[in-house]
Amino acid sequence: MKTPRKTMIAGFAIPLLSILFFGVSLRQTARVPSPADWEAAAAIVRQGWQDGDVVAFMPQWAQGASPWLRGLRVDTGENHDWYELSKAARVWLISSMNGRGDLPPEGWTMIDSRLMDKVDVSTWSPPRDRTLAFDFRGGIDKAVVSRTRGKTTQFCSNFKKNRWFCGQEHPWLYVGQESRDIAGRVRDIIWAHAVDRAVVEALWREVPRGTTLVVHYGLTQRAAEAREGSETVFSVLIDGKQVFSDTLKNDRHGWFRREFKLPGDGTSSVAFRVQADDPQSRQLCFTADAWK
Amino acid sequence: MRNDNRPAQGLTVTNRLRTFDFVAGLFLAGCYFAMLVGTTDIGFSRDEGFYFKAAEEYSWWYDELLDDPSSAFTKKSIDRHFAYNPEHPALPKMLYGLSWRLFGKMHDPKTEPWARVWYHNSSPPKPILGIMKESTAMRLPALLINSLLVMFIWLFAAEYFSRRTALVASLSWMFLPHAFWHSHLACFDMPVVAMWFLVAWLFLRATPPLEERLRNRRQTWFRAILAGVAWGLAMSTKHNAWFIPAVFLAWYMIARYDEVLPRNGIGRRRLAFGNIPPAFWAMLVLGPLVLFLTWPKLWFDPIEHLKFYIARHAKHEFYWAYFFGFLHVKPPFPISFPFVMSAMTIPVPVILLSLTGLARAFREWIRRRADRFQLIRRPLPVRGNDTILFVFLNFLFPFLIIAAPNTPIFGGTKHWMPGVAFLAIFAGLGFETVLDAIRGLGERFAAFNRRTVRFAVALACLAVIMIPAARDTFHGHTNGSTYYNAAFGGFGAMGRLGMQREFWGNTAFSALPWLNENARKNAQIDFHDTAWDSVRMYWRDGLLRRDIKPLWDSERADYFLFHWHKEFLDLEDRSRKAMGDEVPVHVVEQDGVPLLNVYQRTERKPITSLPVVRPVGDPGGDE
Repeated sequence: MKTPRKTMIAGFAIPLLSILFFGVSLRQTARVPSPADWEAAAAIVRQGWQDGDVVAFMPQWAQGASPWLRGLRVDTGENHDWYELSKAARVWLISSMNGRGDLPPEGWTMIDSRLMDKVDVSTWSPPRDRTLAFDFRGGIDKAVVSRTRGKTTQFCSNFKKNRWFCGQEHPWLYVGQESRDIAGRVRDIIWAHAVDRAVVEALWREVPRGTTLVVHYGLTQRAAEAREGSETVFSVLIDGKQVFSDTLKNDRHGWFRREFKLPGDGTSSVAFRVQADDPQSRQLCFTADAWK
Repeated sequence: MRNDNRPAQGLTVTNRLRTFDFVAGLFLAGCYFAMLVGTTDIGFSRDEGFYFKAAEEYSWWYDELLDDPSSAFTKKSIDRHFAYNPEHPALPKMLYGLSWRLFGKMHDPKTEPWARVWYHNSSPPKPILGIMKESTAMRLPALLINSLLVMFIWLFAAEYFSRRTALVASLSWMFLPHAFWHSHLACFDMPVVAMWFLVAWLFLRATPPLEERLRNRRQTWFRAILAGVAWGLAMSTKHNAWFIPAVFLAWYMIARYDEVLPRNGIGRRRLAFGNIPPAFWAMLVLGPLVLFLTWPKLWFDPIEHLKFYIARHAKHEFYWAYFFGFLHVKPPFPISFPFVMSAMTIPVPVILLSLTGLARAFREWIRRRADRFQLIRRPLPVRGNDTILFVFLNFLFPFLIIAAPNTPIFGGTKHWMPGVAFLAIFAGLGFETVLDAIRGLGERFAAFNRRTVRFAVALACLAVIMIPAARDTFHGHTNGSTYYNAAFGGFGAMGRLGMQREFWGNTAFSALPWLNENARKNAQIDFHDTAWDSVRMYWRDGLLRRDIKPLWDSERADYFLFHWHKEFLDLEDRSRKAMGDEVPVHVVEQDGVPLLNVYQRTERKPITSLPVVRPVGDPGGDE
């Protein structure tokens, strides 16, 4: 009985596929930059560096060049945050391996590009259709932070290390600057942990009008993975009127974005509220910017 | 070895092991040992550090045993020497300690006063032979046991399948990067793989069909006793072995239930107690006995200590596992985890062979069970109709244990490795399909009809299958536990797919040369995930400058060694801010993926004292 054709195909497919994947494996290794490649890329960045620049990587995890970039502003997050990068004057992208050929999102303009053997260095200009008018995190000292239980409102007046405490310093019950792993990378955020039977509010009174308010919010990685506590309600109020509210389940991962128009002239008050029936590990974080 | 195809009896083959098989198995085991010894540049994982410490402390019991045997067996002596790491059986650690005492090259605190802090009770024993590094001496028993596994695979496969299956299965196991990496460590994970495999082989030898058992009672009982003792030693290695009887029982009840539940004259099934295979009785009696004898902690309070032991592992804490960009911290864990991780961390050629072997063997087993032998065109060289099922269950069960949504994942691949050793047998069977294809070539083309040509083509095919696996095993072997195969992007899968990178704090090893060269005198290093006992061994092996001081406090340390774990990213951020520099001064990477970042304090504080600070709340324990 002759060996069936199917058996022959299956039998020879194994060594043939082995050869194919061997080739793939060798290629994957061959394209890895050497220290000399990283050093050369860093030298190009240093040569053209200007104030306000930032360095990122493509893919973002391929950060082997970092040691040669010390002293510069380098984004070492696990994944890109193109929104935050867009606040820089220019972004230097060091591309390598399977990131060569990948581009920033639409709207970014390439200023310069240097292709080398295993590394590419390109300079990018973020979208120029708007300018940052107000950074809420940077203006944390201007915030009015309070907790409301029923009809009683307690204002948090203890401001230390860019954090507002209601009374004594506390390891997690405050509103203020923090950095936390949220939805794929460590982000610079405003921390607003929910408080037992209270509504936490952070209010900025003088936010310029004629701008677009961009809000990001979400639970920290730790909070979402812990799956503790109850749902957390996050609300945005403009001039005392609630314009947005979202209820985050206790395991909801993500860094969510919402935009609101602040039309007209002068200033508006913008407030953010956080509340949860059971505040266990309800580490809500947000950022906000007003763009003109 | 004689292959006797008997189509009427279910196309089964009868192989007898010959001297050649032992020589061939030993030769391959020797090759594996040479591979391991030639690649000892592998860092000390957290658990290995704990076992170094345990081995050292246990080894002092040998002194008491020699000096005063009567007191060595008192509760006081056992409690004193075996107090540390009681949640694991003592046997492997006793072997590591014994090897260290025999072969280790210790430092003498009289001539090297700084070495006092490196040893238990500030003083090492006098070296006996003093011919190797202390870590290598500790690892030596594990290296030997793990090498013997290759021989066990050969013997099992040669006896129940064929020598060509044995060859391919052995090579497939030898060229698994994760297994190879773990085989270096003075831990229990790979020794228990070897022991599980040995027990399975001995059990199967002791459990032929009933008629054969009745015919060779003496031999059956002898083999059963061997299986029972081996299971006891397996339990004395690691708790994975407790699951072995369940696998054997499941196999027996599927394959041989007619033996213990035969039909009587009126067709009703009755329990034939006397037909229960001796191997089960031997395991039941000898297994616990050997465990008791080889674990001194059981000698004086066996029930209480066993209760503690079982409770410790039944309620093990959950470790975090980063899996496709999601950090799993508590149940339910993904059922797919062990299967997908294996698909990603076994070289592609071995995966292809294994899947082919699994598919073909399983199809054949079903046909054999259904007595549809006429459908089996090219029978696999299998001895016994239910051997395939036996291998399959031994492969599957360890995977299923970890796949259960409530089982802690631990992050790595080592916990279901006992199943992978049996998967290697299927890889060996998969090669039969390649051989069939070559035979088909001969049928179609006269040039390939000659036996020597077909043999040459078969060798070439084996080479193109094994060379990529061998290359994957040696390339980046220092970081072998972070290997992902080419189909998923190679090591790059860690970054691209959001998979676990570092596992057990061993990557500090690769940063030591940089630290030795660049750290200032008396620098304080926050070693992050590296255990204190691992750092002590780096000193003892001369891998770390002796003036460098560990200090698990990034607020005060001069350097912080961040081992890249998803769950520690918040800590990394805090630490580098505390260091005053957001950009690492040195990166340990594998194929472009950072595994460890070294952060350096920008402004050095004046050093007032040079304490060696142990990590706060370091629980010792296991992984």
